[in-house]
Amino acid sequence: MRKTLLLTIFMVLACLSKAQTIKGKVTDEKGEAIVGASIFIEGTQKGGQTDVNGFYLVNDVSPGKYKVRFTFIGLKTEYKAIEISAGQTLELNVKMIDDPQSLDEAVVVGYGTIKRREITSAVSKISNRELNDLPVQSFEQALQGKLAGVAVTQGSGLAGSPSIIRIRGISSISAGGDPLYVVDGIPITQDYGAYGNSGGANFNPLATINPFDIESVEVLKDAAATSIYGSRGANGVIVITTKRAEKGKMRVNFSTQFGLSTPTARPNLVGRDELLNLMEEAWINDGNVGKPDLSRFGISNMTWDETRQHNTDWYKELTQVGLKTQNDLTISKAWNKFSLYSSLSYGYNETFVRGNSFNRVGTRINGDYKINNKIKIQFGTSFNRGINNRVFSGWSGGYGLLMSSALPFYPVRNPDGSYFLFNNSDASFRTNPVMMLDLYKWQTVENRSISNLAVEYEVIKNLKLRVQGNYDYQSIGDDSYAPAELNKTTGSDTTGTAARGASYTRNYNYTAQLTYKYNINKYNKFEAVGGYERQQSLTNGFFMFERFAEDLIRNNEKSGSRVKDYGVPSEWRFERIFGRVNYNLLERYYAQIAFSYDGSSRFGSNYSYGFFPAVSAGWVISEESFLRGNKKISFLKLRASYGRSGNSDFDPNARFGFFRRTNLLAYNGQSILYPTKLENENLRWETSWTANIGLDFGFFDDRITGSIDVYDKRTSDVIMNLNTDPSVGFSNYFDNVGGIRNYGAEMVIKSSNIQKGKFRWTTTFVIARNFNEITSTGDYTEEAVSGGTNDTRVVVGSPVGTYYLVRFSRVDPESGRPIYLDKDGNETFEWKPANRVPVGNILPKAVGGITNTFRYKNWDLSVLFNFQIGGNIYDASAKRQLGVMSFWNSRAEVADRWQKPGDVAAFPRLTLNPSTYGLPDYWQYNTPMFLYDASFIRLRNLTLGYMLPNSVAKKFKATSCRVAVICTNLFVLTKYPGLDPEIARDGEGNINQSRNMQAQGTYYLNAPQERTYNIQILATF
Amino acid sequence: MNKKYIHVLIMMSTLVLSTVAITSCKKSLEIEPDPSFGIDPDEAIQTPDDMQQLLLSCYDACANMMNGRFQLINDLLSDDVSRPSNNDGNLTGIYNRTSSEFNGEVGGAYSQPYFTIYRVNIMDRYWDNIQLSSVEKDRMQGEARFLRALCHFETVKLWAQPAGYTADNSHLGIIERKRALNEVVLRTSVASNYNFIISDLTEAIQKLPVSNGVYANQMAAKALLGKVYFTMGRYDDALPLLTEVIGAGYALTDSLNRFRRNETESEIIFGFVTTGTPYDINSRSSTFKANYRNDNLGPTDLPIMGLSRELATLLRSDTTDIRRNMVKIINEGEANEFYASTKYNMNDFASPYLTLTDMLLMRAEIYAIKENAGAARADLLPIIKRAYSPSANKELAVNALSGPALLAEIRLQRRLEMHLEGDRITQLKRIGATQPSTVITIRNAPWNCNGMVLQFPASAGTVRGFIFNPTGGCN
Repeated sequence: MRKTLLLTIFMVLACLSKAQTIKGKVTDEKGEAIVGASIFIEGTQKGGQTDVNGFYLVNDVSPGKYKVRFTFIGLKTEYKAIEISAGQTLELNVKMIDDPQSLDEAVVVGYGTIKRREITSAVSKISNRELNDLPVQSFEQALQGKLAGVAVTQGSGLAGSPSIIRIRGISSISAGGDPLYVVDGIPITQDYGAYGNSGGANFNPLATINPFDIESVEVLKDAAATSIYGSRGANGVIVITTKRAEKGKMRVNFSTQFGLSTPTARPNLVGRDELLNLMEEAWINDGNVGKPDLSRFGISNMTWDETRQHNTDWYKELTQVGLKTQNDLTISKAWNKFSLYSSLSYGYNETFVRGNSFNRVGTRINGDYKINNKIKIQFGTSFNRGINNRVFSGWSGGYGLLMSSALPFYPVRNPDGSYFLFNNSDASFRTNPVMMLDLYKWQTVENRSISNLAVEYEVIKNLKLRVQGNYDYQSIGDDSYAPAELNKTTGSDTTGTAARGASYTRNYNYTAQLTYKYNINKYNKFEAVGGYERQQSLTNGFFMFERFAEDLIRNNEKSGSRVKDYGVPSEWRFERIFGRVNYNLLERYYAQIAFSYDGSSRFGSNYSYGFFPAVSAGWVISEESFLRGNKKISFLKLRASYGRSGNSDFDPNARFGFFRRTNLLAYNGQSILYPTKLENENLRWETSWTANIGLDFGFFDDRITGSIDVYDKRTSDVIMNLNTDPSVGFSNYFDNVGGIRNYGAEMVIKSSNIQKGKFRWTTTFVIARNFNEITSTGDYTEEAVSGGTNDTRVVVGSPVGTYYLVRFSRVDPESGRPIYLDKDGNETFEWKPANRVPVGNILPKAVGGITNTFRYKNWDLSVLFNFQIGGNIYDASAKRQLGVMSFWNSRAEVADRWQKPGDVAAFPRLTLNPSTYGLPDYWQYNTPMFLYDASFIRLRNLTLGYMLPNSVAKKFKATSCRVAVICTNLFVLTKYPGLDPEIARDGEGNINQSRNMQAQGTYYLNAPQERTYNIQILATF
Repeated sequence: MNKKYIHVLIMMSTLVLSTVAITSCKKSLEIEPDPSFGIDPDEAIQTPDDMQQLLLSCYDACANMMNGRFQLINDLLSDDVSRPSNNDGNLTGIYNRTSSEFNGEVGGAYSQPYFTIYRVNIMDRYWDNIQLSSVEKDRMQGEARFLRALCHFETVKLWAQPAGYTADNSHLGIIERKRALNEVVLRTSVASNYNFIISDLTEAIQKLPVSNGVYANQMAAKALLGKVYFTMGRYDDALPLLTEVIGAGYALTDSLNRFRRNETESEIIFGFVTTGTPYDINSRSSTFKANYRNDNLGPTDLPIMGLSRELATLLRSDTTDIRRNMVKIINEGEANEFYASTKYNMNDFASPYLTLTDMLLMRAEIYAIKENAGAARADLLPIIKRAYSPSANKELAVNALSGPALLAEIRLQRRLEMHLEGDRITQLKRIGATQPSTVITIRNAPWNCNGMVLQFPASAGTVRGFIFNPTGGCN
């Protein structure tokens, strides 16, 4: 009987509990309905979304007290406490206000979070929504044009191409110029040279981080923000936080997109007949008669008469419309004590080059477990596998040959079906690229796992001890196979050959950290963080080569015809103590002191440890009585900081002097012992002292918000991989010798331009102007460090990456010969290296972006332009395409050339003879004739989205569903006549140095950027 | 004290103390390089075997330099070779006598001798630390000095005007490296360079054993010193040395081609040996083969390098000269007729550096200059006998020569005998510098025009105060 009664009561309660409803309307400050705002009842699994009229309805709410959360991008999140009783229908209308830069938003600043209002340093943040609003192969590409002071230069459109990110300019030459990337607490492995520049491309160490797993990206820019990362923070720090489950019902997000890839530009080369005319003209200009002898052009397997037999479109042969798809599924759920976030990802990305694709499959699991009120455990692990089906590009052939030696009068195949061989005079340009694509197998596979485990213990109230261990594992396998058919034609071997290069990096760290919050009273608040970190990384690998191979090498075993050679291991250790104290007075005055005391095995024995302090302060002026309540100025904060940070991203073995003993290079069959590099026990970090003053503002009730920062960063002990005088016995030597100064200003403005009815228009504009100058190169000359063979040099008083070339004056109207300028500005026909002077540089004067977002009812349109003002591109391809005639094709600009006495032309007379141009050889034709303004403005992203009405979404059991058409890189406006002004080409030699000194502006046969057209469906369940 | 503060204090202290404890242990940051990849110099060189292996690496580096690379660069400046058929910018730049700071071939070549020189200088740091018998120590030091001298000698020939360009040889030479330090050293005079070379060789002669297998021995050092004196035009100093070497028991081989695999060729006084492996990794002939070899090409395909028309004509002018078979004509009769050489049509071969042929021809020339025709002819005739078939007529003709005609014949035979061995340009410059009455032009350019001397690589200018060679003037 008792059981029956209880059951009856339960059933009645259950019935009653389903009768409660919360409904209402969400409007903006003007009273206009907000479409697509999210409503969530915390502590339950209940929630919903506003319809086109701003109305929402949440049924089946159990009676009780709740906190209801209303969120909408660009508006301040609203919380409403409610109590609903049995059978009640509660009407809850909410007005949301604009808050483009929420002052209460938590910002990750390294070893903790801090409210945006309290920040005293220069920090930018980007949310996951902004990261995933356009399709990218790698998350850093999505930062472009969105963050002030963060310059993102995308690599080419090829699969797995890395970007170059520069925060407030560049203060390194031979050490890494990229920011430090920290994922959930671990500074990750970020070696762009993991496979050298094989195939004319560097490695992208960020490509296997799934953008969809990222909750937020914080960019720490000034010394106050980065000093806690000590000797590694000088180039800025990018802190990546991955998603975790939020309290509430299970959430399922599914995103799928499909797209097409095309290049942003097609090479502007001349056709067959025009090329032949040019060749003939050069032949005659040189005083020859009769039919041109092609051997003089370096072409030895074709006669002049045979050149009219074929007309091959090599562009068509080598390119395609690439197909892309990206699919992501996340499931998250939080219980009282345990929460779990998991994701699955699969992407297949073909590019516009035939045979080239990057595929990524991955998963992540993040969990939190609260053992009791004092102890909490957090864990996370990810596994991603990136498969890069590679092709040759740039200097290494493939797409590069399309723009050089793949001449239109060459056939793809001979009449007997065999491939036609380019029997020209330079082996680098001899391989038929179609043959290479058809026969050569090449794949690079990266496996990446980033994991962490943390235990947090609240010792007493406000005192927390956190111990965290992280592990970042990366394996890279590079496999290639060339069949005998290919090797015989290239002359490299008579059998099939296969190669396997592998590297394994085990990078782990642990931190022990204490955080203590202490409020003296309600006006004086302290928060202190202190800790210890230790990090260790070991990379080793091998290279295998097999003759008589019939396919890729499938295992790591050595065998009869397979040789295996182990590479030099790269190991480093790092440890430090760090601390930070924040002080808050009256919620108006803020101060911070931070430091890091770092030691690293990279440093020479004479400099094992370094100290990196910083101080900063903030003053919320708008809280002062004279401004409080001001209708025009709603928020105003002044920030200032000064501190020291370092850069220690250089070869861990750089300080060592090595000998090597080997039988492989034996003399007379005996072992030899030989020195491989010079030691430097004084090698140490680069030191940057940075001053920063910033102003955060909000006007007209925060309709316009933003910030302006000015900074001055002075770097000393700049690490240079010096070109030593060869007579020393070595070609290079790492040393701290130089100084660099970066100073400039950056600004971000966000405005809500129109909020009328159901139409909203917001704009975000970011711009950064940086001045860069090398202040010292020690006792060395300009030749101490070079970007490439003969382009950029280190010139005191000029920026990093200064082009150092012999100036071009004009084409002599009488002779058609180029006239150069000597150092004193006098005209000369002779090109001499001694006449080189600074003529430009790779660094832009300013970079930025402007995003306009329009919303009307369920529709939204987002348009992102990014731009670069200033900077130069040196087109090293042009010196051959527009220089001495040879076995290269010519560019269409050659039409403006000297042809007869009296001609005033842009380009000189055609010739086969370098001496006609006063050159020692045709590779030396380096003049500003091929130096171009790199300014551009690009329509980076155009997205048209439509939020399906709730009624439609519910048919698919979804709480929301958005469909979007996304187009990237639709057009670019530029004066640059080459393929694409956005260049981040492969690095050569010292990859870091090449990326700092040359890669951003020196073009050489690289593939252009990618233009994509995509459809995306994003659904939440 | 409040319990809360005690907790805070304990935790902070624990963290600080543990940190201090860890960081005070310096070893926590120490990395020991894997010995198979990188060895600290002091650990690397501890035993006599280590020194011997270091010495062998000097041979190795020197052999890489003399695997045809230096010989080719020398010949590109001369009138013995054709313009590179591939129009390669670097080689053509040398051929045009317009090598610049950015000529990759020149830059790469310039660094090579200094690899050896650095290693020799490294050895100097350890003589007192290694337990070596005096005999062994002398041998190693002698070999080291020999190789350092060889490298400086080959370098000064290419990157400086020859001895005799100025009366006191005060014109700029090359950088002499005497210590294994990364220190600033600037160019010194050619006189200084040669003094240093002679000093090294003198010491080598004193210390080297009479017999030393395939490695440098006392006679090799004497032969090189004789060659150095000859190149400088110091014939009186060269003569006794050459005589001693010629009389030391070496014998001309039957074959005209000294470039064979067998390192024990009877006429080789010193050379760089090739020992085969399955992967052909220590062949000392790669640059020769890469540029001249043509037996592996199609019938109309051209090797990169060939003979100049003038030399090919000379080689083929006498039908009794067996050496004419070393000329292979491709595209005969066509506008693009090409004179390939069969001299290096082999898989692997050693690279002889000092040979009896060379010694005989040097001494013959000295005798001719000194108007000792009989002695000159006596040295020339063995060469003639081997080169001509039947040789009787040629011998008769040579025996009839004297004075300038004999001198011309000796120089001609030297050119024919040692073609494509990088010798020609040295001789032309020597004659130009030491025999002012003789006008020497090389492909229409004076022997002493600026471009006839290679330019230093741009990286040499890393050091403030470094003076580059003047350019131009040859075309």
